[in-house]
Amino acid sequence: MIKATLTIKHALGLHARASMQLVDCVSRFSSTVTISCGKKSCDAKNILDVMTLGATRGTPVTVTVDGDDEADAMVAIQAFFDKGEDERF
Amino acid sequence: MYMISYLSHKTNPSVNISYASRILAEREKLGSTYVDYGIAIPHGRIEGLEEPLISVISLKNPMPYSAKDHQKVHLFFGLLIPAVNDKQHDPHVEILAALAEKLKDENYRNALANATNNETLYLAATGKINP
Repeated sequence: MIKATLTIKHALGLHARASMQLVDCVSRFSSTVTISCGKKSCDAKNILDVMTLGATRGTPVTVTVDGDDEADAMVAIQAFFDKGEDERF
Repeated sequence: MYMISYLSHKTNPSVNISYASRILAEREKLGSTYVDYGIAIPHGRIEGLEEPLISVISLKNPMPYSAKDHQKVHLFFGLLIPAVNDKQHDPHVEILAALAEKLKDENYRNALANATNNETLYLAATGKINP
C-alpha cells in the first residue's frame, strides 16, 4: 500500500471535469484508490464519490493506493495533480 | 442545452437563452457531463448571474449521450452557476458536491425516476418525496 498527501492545484478545485479526469486516470489501474479530504473519504474510481469531496484549490488530500500496480498508479495520480496547475478555461 | 437555458430563463428572465445554451454546449465539448445511473449534469458559468440555477429534466425516452459504455440519459440536472472573479467565492465545486451527494442516494434517484409530472419531479428533486 502506498499513501501520499497531495494538494489540489486545479484552479477550480476538483470540479466535474477534473473529477472525471481523475476517475479516468485511476480506472486504468487494478489497484484500489481511496482519496480522503478532511473527514470525507471516497473511492476514486467512482465519479459521484469524487465529486462529493468538494475539494477546492489548495486543499490537501490523502491518496491511498493498494494493489499490484500501486506504484504506477501513484505516479499517474501525482502527475494528474501536478497537471492541475496548467488547467485553463 | 436549450431546454436547460429556457427553463432557467423562465425562472430568471435575466438569463439569455442563446448565451446560456452556448456556454453549456462549450462546456460539454470539453468532456461529457454524464456521471452515472443515466444522469448527466450539464453546467456552465454565466456572466452576470447572481444566484445559481438548477433545472431538472426527466425524459420519457432515454436518449443517447456521450456517455461511457453507450449508456443513455434519462435525467438531466442543468446547472447555471455565477461566473466569479479570482477574488470572489466560487460556489461551483460546493454545488456539484451537494448534488453528487444527493445522486448517490438510491432512494433519491428512484424518486426522480418515478416522477410522472412536473410537480412530483420538483418534489423529488428537492427531496420532499420518497419513492
